[in-house]
Amino acid sequence: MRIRILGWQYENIRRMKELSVDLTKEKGEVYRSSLIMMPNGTGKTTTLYLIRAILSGSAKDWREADVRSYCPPFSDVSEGKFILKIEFDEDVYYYVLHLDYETGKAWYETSSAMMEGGYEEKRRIPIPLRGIFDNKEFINRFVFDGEQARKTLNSGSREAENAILYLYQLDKLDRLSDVMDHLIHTYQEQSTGRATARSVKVFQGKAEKREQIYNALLQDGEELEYRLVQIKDKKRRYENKYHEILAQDSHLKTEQEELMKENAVNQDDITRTINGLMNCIKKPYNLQLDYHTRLKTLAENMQVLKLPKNTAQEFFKELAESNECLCGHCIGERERKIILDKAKEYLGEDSLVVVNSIKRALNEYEREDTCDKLEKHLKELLEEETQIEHGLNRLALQMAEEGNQEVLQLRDEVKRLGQQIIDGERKLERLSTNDYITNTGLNPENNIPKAKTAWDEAKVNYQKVSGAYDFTRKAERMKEYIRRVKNNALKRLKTYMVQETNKKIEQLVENDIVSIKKIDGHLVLEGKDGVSEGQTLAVAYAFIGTLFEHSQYEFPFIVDSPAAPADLSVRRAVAQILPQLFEQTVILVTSGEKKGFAEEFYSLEDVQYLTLKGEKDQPVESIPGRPYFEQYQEKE
Amino acid sequence: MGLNWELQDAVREETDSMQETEGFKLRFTKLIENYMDGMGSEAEIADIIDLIELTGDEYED
Amino acid sequence: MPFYLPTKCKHFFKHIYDPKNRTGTKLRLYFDEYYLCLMVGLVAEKYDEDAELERSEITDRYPAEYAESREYIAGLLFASERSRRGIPESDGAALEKLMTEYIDATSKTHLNLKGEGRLNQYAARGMEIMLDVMNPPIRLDEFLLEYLECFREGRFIRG
Repeated sequence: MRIRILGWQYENIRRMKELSVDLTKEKGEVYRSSLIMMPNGTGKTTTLYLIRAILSGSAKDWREADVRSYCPPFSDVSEGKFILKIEFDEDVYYYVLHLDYETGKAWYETSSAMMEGGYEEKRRIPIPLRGIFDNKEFINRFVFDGEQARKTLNSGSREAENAILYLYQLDKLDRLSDVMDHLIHTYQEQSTGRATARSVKVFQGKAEKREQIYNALLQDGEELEYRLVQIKDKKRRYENKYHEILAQDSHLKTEQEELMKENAVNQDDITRTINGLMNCIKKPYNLQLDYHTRLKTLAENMQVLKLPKNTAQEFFKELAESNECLCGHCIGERERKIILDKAKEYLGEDSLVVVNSIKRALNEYEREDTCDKLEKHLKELLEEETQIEHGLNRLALQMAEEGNQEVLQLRDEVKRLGQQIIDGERKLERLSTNDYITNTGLNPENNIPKAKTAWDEAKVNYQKVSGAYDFTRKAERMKEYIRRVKNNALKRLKTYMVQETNKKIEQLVENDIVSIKKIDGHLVLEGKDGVSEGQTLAVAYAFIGTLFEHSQYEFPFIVDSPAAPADLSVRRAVAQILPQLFEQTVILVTSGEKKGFAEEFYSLEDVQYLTLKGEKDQPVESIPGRPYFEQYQEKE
Repeated sequence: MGLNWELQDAVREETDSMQETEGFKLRFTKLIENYMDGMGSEAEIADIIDLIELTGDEYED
Repeated sequence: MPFYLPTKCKHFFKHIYDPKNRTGTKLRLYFDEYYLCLMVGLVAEKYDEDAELERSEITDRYPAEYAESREYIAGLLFASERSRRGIPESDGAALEKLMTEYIDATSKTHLNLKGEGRLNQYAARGMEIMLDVMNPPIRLDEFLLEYLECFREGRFIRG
């Protein structure tokens, strides 16, 4: 893309009341070189800053004082304007920078042939240039302050390298690295705790521990189940053996069978009786005589005392609203309060219903002796149960007396194993249950479902942390790749720059002992000792020229006092090199820089000469043409 | 607008030497191109990062 | 206020409680445990002001098996409270006032929040008394016999 400055305009900017600078010749083309003489005080530096402000958009950050600094002195004008006319390929854009001196605000407008309806508020740069122009560092390298040229050679400066970075946008790769850092930070935040190698290990350890506990409990469960099966089996065998032994004696066998039958009946009966007894107990008057007495007494009291009274709370409330009592007495505020207070002691109408139902229930029930009977019966059944057990034991004892000790032992064993089974089943239940209401005191160390949950949680935490950690490692590697790409590209660019600049220098500078050795932040020259200042400055500009030449865009070069303080030979060298580097060069000079610098242009073609002159306290005016330019001298 | 050729070459040299999948290399190259052209979201970048494969001994430090 | 089980109940009754009642010889409801404690507290005419109760409720109404006892329990509450406060049997006004304190016609239990809360407090005290007086039950049949004996011999009142 080809970029050209076509001109600019001032309105109420410092000493420029209303001034146009037009860099075009016929057919809208621009001069290859434009020399603009701006004596001190006319706004040379101002012009540079304003052009930069338009191209970079930096005026939005200006403070009020900065804006007002452009206000014409001793004037009460409220607004100033700076308009820059630029051509991008074939499209012409007008950028207006408005400076409101009253409010201290700066704002932009843009107009182009492409935009319908005239000016649009905002600074609109063509899309391909947006990322580039918005970078102030970059703008400053082709809207150039002559002082900066020295910096490219100054060993304390990184100017030369930075110029490459910004022009070729390698600084964007640094921003890409910043994005990585932000992503890392986000991932770290989302995980539990900071994801370091150590914390990953810690969480991994926790997950492993939980897994071990879980597996150990599972194993315990399995072993317990297995043991229970074995015990049950053993018990069964012993019981069978026990019965077998008893059965061997046919007499005893019969007795045993009968006892077993009795036992079954007894157990059923016990169950039934328990249920019956519980149902009885659910009526409090059955529970004990005292309750029965209390309830009946209460019922009696309520009867005698005529409770509930027919007079309800509502009666009193209504009474309180009247002016006169039933007896004819007046009801004033005092009486009203007493009545209402008293009313609270009486039941409301609805409550009367409840009380009546209670009274009725208490009156109507009849206590029976079912409970007593069932209690007695249960005692008998339990005694019977004991006797049956004794009976069965006695059989075993009998056999033992007849020489069969085994049967006793078996009976004892069966009993013992029975208890072991109960204990084991309870233990197994606690191990595997997830009913935590009935079973209290369970935790991930003694309950399998809880252990599993704890393990799962630990796994998730570990994954989160290690996930963040993994991501961090990957992102760091990515950053490394980007860093290497940037350095690699930079290295190649530097190499290219050095080569091409040296070629340029060879062509342009008379003595070819000057060349660039390398770029190490600044330009490092080969054989620096024998090189003059003029030549070094020429080298700096040659470098700048090479920089821009190589890019995809054709930039103009606007420079302020390119060789101002330097001596004549330096000026000459610079003047010789500058016009050859860019397709459009706009040079702002003072009259003092004519000698040795501007003079070199007189022999060239396609050069424009403008003189901006303004006496003190007079507005500045622009006078085109070489004759005036040549003869113009500033007052010292 | 493509990349300047130095950057292109630098990217190519880097991807040639990296021990990563072809998929990653392609995505990486595109990422640089896109980013230089003002495109690319955090989510896209995170996706590409995920394509990197770590070896098992990443926790030794 | 719903019914809340005193915290010590689950442990005390653990051997004789089974929600499935597989053998037919266990308590099936937590309310059964509650009721047994409540009866002890009421007969002793003592309640626990700082009752320690389970965080979640058993139920907010009487289970079906206890529905018919609604009036009796309310009556017992009045009787126990009257006796505990020393209100003479001849004082009808005081009794009526007592009843207004606890009755709510719209409630499923006939009692308002204060009344139901008071029942919970009696149950909690009842549990404490049982712990002092009785052995932790192993078999329901033996427990019931001991329970009834304690009532009969007034051990809950003395102890």
